[in-house]
Amino acid sequence: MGQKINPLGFRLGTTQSHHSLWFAQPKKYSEGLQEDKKIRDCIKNYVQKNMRLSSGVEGIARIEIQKRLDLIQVIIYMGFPKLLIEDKPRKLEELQMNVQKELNCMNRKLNIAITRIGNPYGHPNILAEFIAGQFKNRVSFRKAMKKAIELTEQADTKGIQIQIAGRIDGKEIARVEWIREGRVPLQTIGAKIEYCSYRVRTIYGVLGIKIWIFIDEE
Amino acid sequence: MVKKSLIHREKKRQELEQKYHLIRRSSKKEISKVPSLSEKWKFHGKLQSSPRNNAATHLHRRCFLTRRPRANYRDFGLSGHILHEMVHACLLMGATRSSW
Repeated sequence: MGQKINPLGFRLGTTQSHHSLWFAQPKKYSEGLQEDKKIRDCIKNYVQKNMRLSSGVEGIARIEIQKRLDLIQVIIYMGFPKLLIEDKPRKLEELQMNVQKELNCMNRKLNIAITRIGNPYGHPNILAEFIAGQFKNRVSFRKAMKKAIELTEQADTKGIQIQIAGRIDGKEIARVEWIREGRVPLQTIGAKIEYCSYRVRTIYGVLGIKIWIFIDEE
Repeated sequence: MVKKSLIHREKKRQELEQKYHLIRRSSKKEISKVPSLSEKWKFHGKLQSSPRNNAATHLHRRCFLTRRPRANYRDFGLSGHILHEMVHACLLMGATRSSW
């Protein structure tokens, strides 16, 4: 739909913080951006490759990058970090080696840390991947949406809205379906709202999933 | 997206420009130093003799994500559409919606 602005971008100055924290002079800004992009891509590809073996929900919520003069600190917020922490030292180190190879910078150390999120299903990225998994298993969309809402209610949120667009249930005519539970005040800037827009590829085409979760009001 | 040949052409121009950067700079300096016109023509001939792809003016900035040749911002190195998406995804440090 054309009218709603992305709630993350809307709240950037106030209740929402950026995912990268560093400073650069205007001439070097785009190089820093390219580095960030490389780090994020590397981590996502690595997680996807390895998670396929264990077939779980991967659940990266956010990747925060903080850069200082001599250190790059990467914090990965994951919902289910078991998969990366099981054989504890090996996989983390592999990740670090991969990312360092991509960046090829000698004067800065790289440090990757993994944080576990308290309620994994309270974060829309992880929920969206869960719903996507359901669609790939040909679950009917209403059931999938309702199950997702149950999970968030356990995870202690004040409101959730899910919208699915595309060839729902594989029907020829595409449509848009949405459910809302609780309250989701999109116009209130003081309200912390997490948003995620996710694309699923099914055999019938691409489905777009948008999830708004209302967490807290200041 | 963009044809691979276009991307490689850009790369070629960038490499050549870097190689000849200092040579061209020194030629331009000599032109400005030397007082008489005929000597200036001599150095100018030197500049003209090297192939055109060595010149910085032949480079064309492209968005580093999509390789789009138009609508690029030098501050970010990105084209307008991708810039808009990344601002909303909170990936661009320090960029917020402007209001005053």
